[in-house]
Amino acid sequence: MNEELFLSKVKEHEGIINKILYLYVDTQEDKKDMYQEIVLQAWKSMSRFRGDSKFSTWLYRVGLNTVMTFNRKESRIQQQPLETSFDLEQPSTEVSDRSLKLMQAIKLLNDIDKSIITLHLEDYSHDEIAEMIGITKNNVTVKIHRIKDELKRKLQANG
Amino acid sequence: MDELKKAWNELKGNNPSENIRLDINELQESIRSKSVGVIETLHKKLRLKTWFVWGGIVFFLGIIYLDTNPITDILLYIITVVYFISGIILTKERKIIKDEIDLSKNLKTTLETFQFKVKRILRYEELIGLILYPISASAGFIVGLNIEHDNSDFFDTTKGWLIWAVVIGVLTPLCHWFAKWMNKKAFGKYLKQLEEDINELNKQEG
Repeated sequence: MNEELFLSKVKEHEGIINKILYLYVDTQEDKKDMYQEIVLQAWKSMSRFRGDSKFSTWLYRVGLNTVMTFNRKESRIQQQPLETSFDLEQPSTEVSDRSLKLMQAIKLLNDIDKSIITLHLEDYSHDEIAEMIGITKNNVTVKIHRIKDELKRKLQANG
Repeated sequence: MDELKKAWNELKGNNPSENIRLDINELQESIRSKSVGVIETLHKKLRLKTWFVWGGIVFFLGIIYLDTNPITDILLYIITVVYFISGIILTKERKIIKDEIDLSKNLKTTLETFQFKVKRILRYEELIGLILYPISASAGFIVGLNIEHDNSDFFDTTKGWLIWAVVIGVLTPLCHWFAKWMNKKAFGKYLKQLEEDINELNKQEG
Protein backbone atom coordinates (compact mmCIF):
# COMPACT_ATOMS: atom_id res chain seq x y z
CA MET A 1 0.00 0.00 0.00
CA ASN A 2 1.50 3.32 -1.01
CA GLU A 3 1.56 6.42 1.19
CA GLU A 4 -1.33 8.13 -0.55
CA LEU A 5 -3.60 5.12 -0.26
CA PHE A 6 -2.57 4.55 3.35
CA LEU A 7 -3.35 8.14 4.32
CA SER A 8 -6.71 8.08 2.58
CA LYS A 9 -7.54 4.84 4.41
CA VAL A 10 -6.55 6.41 7.73
CA LYS A 11 -8.69 9.42 6.93
CA GLU A 12 -11.58 7.13 6.06
CA HIS A 13 -11.22 5.32 9.39
CA GLU A 14 -10.32 8.27 11.59
CA GLY A 15 -13.41 7.53 13.68
CA ILE A 16 -11.58 4.47 15.04
CA ILE A 17 -8.65 6.57 16.20
CA ASN A 18 -10.99 9.12 17.75
CA LYS A 19 -12.77 6.39 19.70
CA ILE A 20 -9.48 5.28 21.18
CA LEU A 21 -8.48 8.86 21.95
CA TYR A 22 -11.82 9.50 23.55
CA LEU A 23 -11.19 6.82 26.15
CA TYR A 24 -7.49 7.18 26.76
CA VAL A 25 -6.58 10.82 26.28
CA ASP A 26 -8.03 13.84 27.99
CA THR A 27 -6.98 17.08 26.36
CA GLN A 28 -7.35 18.11 22.74
CA GLU A 29 -3.64 18.83 22.43
CA ASP A 30 -2.67 15.40 23.76
CA LYS A 31 -5.27 13.81 21.54
CA LYS A 32 -3.63 15.36 18.50
CA ASP A 33 -0.19 14.14 19.61
CA MET A 34 -1.49 10.65 20.18
CA TYR A 35 -3.38 10.67 16.88
CA GLN A 36 -0.10 11.42 15.10
CA GLU A 37 1.71 8.73 17.07
CA ILE A 38 -0.92 6.16 16.08
CA VAL A 39 -0.66 7.17 12.42
CA LEU A 40 3.14 6.93 12.61
CA GLN A 41 3.06 3.48 14.19
CA ALA A 42 0.45 2.31 11.71
CA TRP A 43 2.61 3.51 8.83
CA LYS A 44 5.63 1.71 10.27
CA SER A 45 3.64 -1.52 10.61
CA MET A 46 1.97 -1.10 7.23
CA SER A 47 4.51 -3.21 5.35
CA ARG A 48 3.42 -6.18 7.46
CA PHE A 49 -0.28 -5.71 6.85
CA ARG A 50 -1.24 -8.68 4.69
CA GLY A 51 -4.93 -7.98 4.53
CA ASP A 52 -5.82 -11.03 6.62
CA SER A 53 -8.07 -8.80 8.65
CA LYS A 54 -10.00 -5.69 7.73
CA PHE A 55 -8.01 -2.45 7.70
CA SER A 56 -10.27 -1.09 10.43
CA THR A 57 -9.54 -4.07 12.71
CA TRP A 58 -5.84 -3.73 12.05
CA LEU A 59 -5.89 0.02 12.72
CA TYR A 60 -7.80 -0.54 15.93
CA ARG A 61 -5.17 -3.00 17.09
CA VAL A 62 -2.27 -0.68 16.23
CA GLY A 63 -4.07 2.21 17.92
CA LEU A 64 -4.74 0.37 21.16
CA ASN A 65 -1.24 -1.09 21.30
CA THR A 66 0.28 2.33 20.65
CA VAL A 67 -1.75 3.91 23.42
CA MET A 68 -0.84 1.13 25.83
CA THR A 69 2.87 1.28 25.11
CA PHE A 70 3.12 5.04 24.94
CA ASN A 71 5.77 6.46 27.16
CA ARG A 72 3.48 8.02 29.72
CA LYS A 73 6.31 9.29 31.89
CA GLU A 74 7.78 11.36 29.09
CA SER A 75 4.48 12.47 27.80
CA ARG A 76 2.16 15.20 28.80
CA ILE A 77 -0.53 12.56 28.69
CA GLN A 78 -1.32 11.76 32.25
CA GLN A 79 -3.81 9.49 33.85
CA GLN A 80 -6.00 12.10 35.50
CA PRO A 81 -8.84 11.60 37.90
CA LEU A 82 -11.94 11.27 35.83
CA GLU A 83 -13.83 14.17 37.33
CA THR A 84 -10.97 16.47 36.38
CA SER A 85 -10.91 15.27 32.81
CA PHE A 86 -14.61 15.74 32.43
CA ASP A 87 -14.30 19.22 33.78
CA LEU A 88 -11.82 19.96 31.06
CA GLU A 89 -14.07 18.88 28.27
CA GLN A 90 -17.75 18.82 28.74
CA PRO A 91 -19.36 16.55 26.16
CA SER A 92 -22.40 17.62 24.29
CA THR A 93 -25.50 18.11 26.35
CA GLU A 94 -27.37 15.93 23.88
CA VAL A 95 -25.76 12.92 25.48
CA SER A 96 -27.83 11.44 28.27
CA ASP A 97 -26.60 11.66 31.80
CA ARG A 98 -26.63 7.88 32.12
CA SER A 99 -24.43 7.49 29.04
CA LEU A 100 -21.97 9.98 30.44
CA LYS A 101 -21.82 8.11 33.72
CA LEU A 102 -21.27 4.90 31.83
CA MET A 103 -18.40 6.39 29.91
CA GLN A 104 -16.95 7.84 33.10
CA ALA A 105 -17.06 4.37 34.58
CA ILE A 106 -15.30 2.92 31.52
CA LYS A 107 -12.64 5.58 31.70
CA LEU A 108 -11.89 4.55 35.26
CA LEU A 109 -11.03 0.99 34.21
CA ASN A 110 -7.41 0.00 33.77
CA ASP A 111 -5.94 0.22 30.25
CA ILE A 112 -6.41 -3.44 29.37
CA ASP A 113 -9.97 -3.69 30.68
CA LYS A 114 -10.76 -0.48 28.86
CA SER A 115 -9.44 -1.97 25.62
CA ILE A 116 -11.36 -5.19 26.10
CA ILE A 117 -14.69 -3.51 26.75
CA THR A 118 -14.14 -0.99 23.95
CA LEU A 119 -13.45 -3.75 21.45
CA HIS A 120 -16.48 -5.61 22.73
CA LEU A 121 -18.61 -2.50 22.27
CA GLU A 122 -17.28 -2.27 18.74
CA ASP A 123 -18.61 -5.78 18.13
CA TYR A 124 -15.29 -7.54 17.79
CA SER A 125 -15.54 -11.27 18.46
CA HIS A 126 -13.93 -12.76 21.55
CA ASP A 127 -11.42 -14.48 19.29
CA GLU A 128 -10.41 -11.17 17.73
CA ILE A 129 -10.14 -9.46 21.12
CA ALA A 130 -8.02 -12.32 22.45
CA GLU A 131 -5.69 -12.01 19.47
CA MET A 132 -5.40 -8.24 19.75
CA ILE A 133 -4.77 -8.09 23.48
CA GLY A 134 -2.77 -11.28 23.77
CA ILE A 135 -4.85 -13.19 26.27
CA THR A 136 -6.90 -16.37 25.86
CA LYS A 137 -10.43 -16.38 24.50
CA ASN A 138 -11.74 -17.84 27.78
CA ASN A 139 -10.07 -15.05 29.66
CA VAL A 140 -11.71 -12.49 27.38
CA THR A 141 -15.12 -14.01 28.06
CA VAL A 142 -14.56 -14.00 31.81
CA LYS A 143 -13.21 -10.47 31.74
CA ILE A 144 -16.04 -9.03 29.70
CA HIS A 145 -18.49 -10.56 32.13
CA ARG A 146 -16.57 -9.16 35.10
CA ILE A 147 -16.16 -5.69 33.55
CA LYS A 148 -19.87 -5.51 32.76
CA ASP A 149 -20.69 -6.43 36.36
CA GLU A 150 -18.28 -3.80 37.60
CA LEU A 151 -19.80 -1.15 35.34
CA LYS A 152 -23.30 -2.09 36.46
CA ARG A 153 -22.25 -1.81 40.08
CA LYS A 154 -20.68 1.59 39.49
CA LEU A 155 -23.75 2.85 37.70
CA GLN A 156 -26.07 1.60 40.40
CA ALA A 157 -23.88 3.17 43.07
CA ASN A 158 -24.15 6.50 41.24
CA GLY A 159 -27.90 6.21 40.93
CA MET B 1 -25.64 -5.19 28.27
CA ASP B 2 -27.32 -3.50 25.32
CA GLU B 3 -27.54 -0.34 27.35
CA LEU B 4 -23.78 -0.10 27.33
CA LYS B 5 -23.62 -0.41 23.55
CA LYS B 6 -26.38 2.13 23.20
CA ALA B 7 -24.50 4.57 25.40
CA TRP B 8 -21.28 3.97 23.49
CA ASN B 9 -22.95 4.67 20.16
CA GLU B 10 -24.75 7.66 21.57
CA LEU B 11 -21.56 9.17 22.90
CA LYS B 12 -19.35 8.55 19.92
CA GLY B 13 -21.96 10.07 17.65
CA ASN B 14 -22.47 13.14 19.76
CA ASN B 15 -19.03 14.55 20.22
CA PRO B 16 -18.01 15.65 16.75
CA SER B 17 -16.41 18.85 18.02
CA GLU B 18 -14.02 16.87 20.22
CA ASN B 19 -12.90 14.59 17.43
CA ILE B 20 -9.47 15.21 16.00
CA ARG B 21 -9.51 15.65 12.25
CA LEU B 22 -6.18 15.91 10.52
CA ASP B 23 -5.95 16.89 6.89
CA ILE B 24 -3.75 14.99 4.46
CA ASN B 25 -0.82 17.36 4.97
CA GLU B 26 -0.91 16.84 8.73
CA LEU B 27 -1.16 13.09 8.24
CA GLN B 28 1.88 13.23 5.98
CA GLU B 29 3.71 15.15 8.70
CA SER B 30 2.70 12.47 11.19
CA ILE B 31 4.34 9.64 9.29
CA ARG B 32 7.53 11.68 9.00
CA SER B 33 7.58 12.69 12.64
CA LYS B 34 9.67 11.06 15.35
CA SER B 35 8.00 8.73 17.76
CA VAL B 36 8.27 9.32 21.48
CA GLY B 37 6.92 5.91 22.46
CA VAL B 38 8.91 3.69 24.79
CA ILE B 39 9.79 1.13 22.10
CA GLU B 40 11.07 3.75 19.69
CA THR B 41 13.01 5.48 22.44
CA LEU B 42 14.77 2.27 23.39
CA HIS B 43 15.47 1.53 19.76
CA LYS B 44 16.99 4.97 19.28
CA LYS B 45 19.23 4.40 22.27
CA LEU B 46 20.42 1.13 20.78
CA ARG B 47 21.18 2.98 17.54
CA LEU B 48 23.26 5.48 19.50
CA LYS B 49 25.10 2.58 21.11
CA THR B 50 25.87 1.17 17.67
CA TRP B 51 27.26 4.50 16.51
CA PHE B 52 29.31 4.68 19.68
CA VAL B 53 30.87 1.31 18.83
CA TRP B 54 31.72 2.39 15.25
CA GLY B 55 33.04 5.69 16.60
CA GLY B 56 35.18 3.72 19.06
CA ILE B 57 36.78 1.81 16.21
CA VAL B 58 37.76 5.06 14.49
CA PHE B 59 39.11 6.36 17.80
CA PHE B 60 41.24 3.28 18.47
CA LEU B 61 42.55 3.20 14.91
CA GLY B 62 43.53 6.84 15.40
CA ILE B 63 45.49 5.99 18.54
CA ILE B 64 47.18 3.06 16.76
CA TYR B 65 48.16 5.43 13.98
CA LEU B 66 49.58 8.00 16.41
CA ASP B 67 51.19 5.62 18.90
CA THR B 68 54.34 3.71 18.02
CA ASN B 69 54.55 1.36 20.98
CA PRO B 70 54.16 -2.17 19.58
CA ILE B 71 52.61 -3.63 22.77
CA THR B 72 50.00 -0.86 22.92
CA ASP B 73 49.31 -1.36 19.22
CA ILE B 74 48.70 -5.09 19.74
CA LEU B 75 46.32 -4.38 22.64
CA LEU B 76 44.49 -1.72 20.65
CA TYR B 77 44.20 -4.05 17.65
CA ILE B 78 42.57 -6.63 19.91
CA ILE B 79 40.12 -4.00 21.18
CA THR B 80 39.40 -2.81 17.64
CA VAL B 81 38.70 -6.36 16.44
CA VAL B 82 36.37 -6.96 19.40
CA TYR B 83 34.65 -3.63 18.73
CA PHE B 84 34.31 -4.51 15.06
CA ILE B 85 32.72 -7.88 15.81
CA SER B 86 30.49 -6.28 18.44
CA GLY B 87 29.50 -3.55 15.98
CA ILE B 88 28.43 -6.12 13.40
CA ILE B 89 26.48 -8.17 15.97
CA LEU B 90 24.83 -5.05 17.36
CA THR B 91 23.87 -3.78 13.91
CA LYS B 92 22.37 -7.16 12.99
CA GLU B 93 20.55 -7.51 16.31
CA ARG B 94 19.11 -4.03 15.94
CA LYS B 95 17.82 -4.86 12.50
CA ILE B 96 16.21 -8.06 13.79
CA ILE B 97 14.63 -6.20 16.70
CA LYS B 98 13.37 -3.47 14.37
CA ASP B 99 11.83 -6.03 12.02
CA GLU B 100 10.13 -7.75 14.94
CA ILE B 101 8.49 -4.62 16.32
CA ASP B 102 4.96 -4.86 15.05
CA LEU B 103 2.28 -3.09 17.02
CA SER B 104 -0.41 -4.74 14.96
CA LYS B 105 0.52 -8.11 16.46
CA ASN B 106 -0.06 -9.60 19.87
CA LEU B 107 1.08 -6.88 22.24
CA LYS B 108 2.31 -9.10 25.04
CA THR B 109 4.51 -11.21 22.76
CA THR B 110 5.86 -8.11 21.00
CA LEU B 111 6.77 -6.43 24.28
CA GLU B 112 8.26 -9.57 25.83
CA THR B 113 10.42 -10.30 22.79
CA PHE B 114 11.56 -6.70 22.55
CA GLN B 115 12.39 -6.45 26.24
CA PHE B 116 14.24 -9.77 26.20
CA LYS B 117 16.38 -8.75 23.23
CA VAL B 118 17.23 -5.29 24.51
CA LYS B 119 18.22 -6.74 27.89
CA ARG B 120 20.29 -9.42 26.15
CA ILE B 121 22.21 -6.80 24.15
CA LEU B 122 22.96 -4.84 27.32
CA ARG B 123 24.05 -7.99 29.16
CA TYR B 124 26.38 -9.06 26.34
CA GLU B 125 27.77 -5.54 26.13
CA GLU B 126 28.58 -5.58 29.83
CA LEU B 127 30.21 -9.02 29.56
CA ILE B 128 32.30 -8.03 26.54
CA GLY B 129 33.25 -4.89 28.44
CA LEU B 130 34.55 -7.02 31.31
CA ILE B 131 37.00 -8.62 28.87
CA LEU B 132 37.95 -5.33 27.24
CA TYR B 133 38.51 -3.18 30.32
CA PRO B 134 41.74 -4.92 31.40
CA ILE B 135 43.05 -4.76 27.82
CA SER B 136 42.16 -1.10 27.29
CA ALA B 137 43.35 -0.18 30.78
CA SER B 138 46.68 -1.90 30.04
CA ALA B 139 46.95 -0.07 26.73
CA GLY B 140 46.20 3.23 28.43
CA PHE B 141 48.66 2.38 31.20
CA ILE B 142 51.47 1.74 28.73
CA VAL B 143 50.64 4.85 26.69
CA GLY B 144 50.70 6.86 29.92
CA LEU B 145 54.01 5.36 31.01
CA ASN B 146 55.71 6.25 27.77
CA ILE B 147 54.16 9.61 27.22
CA GLU B 148 57.06 11.60 28.65
CA HIS B 149 59.97 9.27 27.95
CA ASP B 150 60.66 5.61 27.24
CA ASN B 151 59.77 3.44 30.26
CA SER B 152 59.97 0.07 28.58
CA ASP B 153 61.96 -1.33 31.53
CA PHE B 154 58.99 -0.69 33.88
CA PHE B 155 57.83 -4.30 33.61
CA ASP B 156 61.26 -5.69 34.33
CA THR B 157 60.54 -5.43 38.05
CA THR B 158 57.96 -7.15 40.26
CA LYS B 159 56.96 -3.74 41.57
CA GLY B 160 56.04 -2.66 38.04
CA TRP B 161 53.83 -5.70 37.52
CA LEU B 162 52.25 -5.16 40.95
CA ILE B 163 51.37 -1.54 40.15
CA TRP B 164 49.91 -2.67 36.84
CA ALA B 165 47.87 -5.41 38.60
CA VAL B 166 46.49 -2.91 41.13
CA VAL B 167 45.55 -0.44 38.38
CA ILE B 168 43.76 -3.17 36.41
CA GLY B 169 42.21 -4.58 39.58
CA VAL B 170 40.73 -1.20 40.42
CA LEU B 171 39.79 0.00 36.93
CA THR B 172 38.08 -3.18 35.70
CA PRO B 173 35.31 -3.36 38.34
CA LEU B 174 35.04 0.42 38.31
CA CYS B 175 34.49 0.54 34.54
CA HIS B 176 32.08 -2.40 34.78
CA TRP B 177 30.09 -0.62 37.46
CA PHE B 178 30.14 2.59 35.43
CA ALA B 179 28.93 0.80 32.27
CA LYS B 180 26.09 -0.80 34.22
CA TRP B 181 25.20 2.56 35.75
CA MET B 182 25.22 4.22 32.32
CA ASN B 183 22.97 1.51 30.90
CA LYS B 184 20.64 1.82 33.85
CA LYS B 185 20.55 5.59 33.41
CA ALA B 186 19.92 5.41 29.66
CA PHE B 187 17.66 2.34 29.44
CA GLY B 188 16.44 1.72 32.99
CA LYS B 189 13.26 3.76 33.16
CA TYR B 190 12.14 2.65 29.69
CA LEU B 191 12.80 -1.01 30.43
CA LYS B 192 10.93 -0.55 33.69
CA GLN B 193 7.96 0.84 31.84
CA LEU B 194 8.05 -2.12 29.45
CA GLU B 195 8.19 -4.41 32.47
CA GLU B 196 5.15 -2.67 33.96
CA ASP B 197 3.23 -3.00 30.70
CA ILE B 198 4.10 -6.70 30.46
CA ASN B 199 3.17 -7.24 34.11
CA GLU B 200 -0.16 -5.58 33.53
CA LEU B 201 -0.80 -7.86 30.56
CA ASN B 202 0.31 -10.89 32.58
CA LYS B 203 -2.01 -9.90 35.40
CA GLN B 204 -4.87 -9.95 32.92
CA GLU B 205 -3.84 -13.45 31.86
CA GLY B 206 -3.66 -14.64 35.44
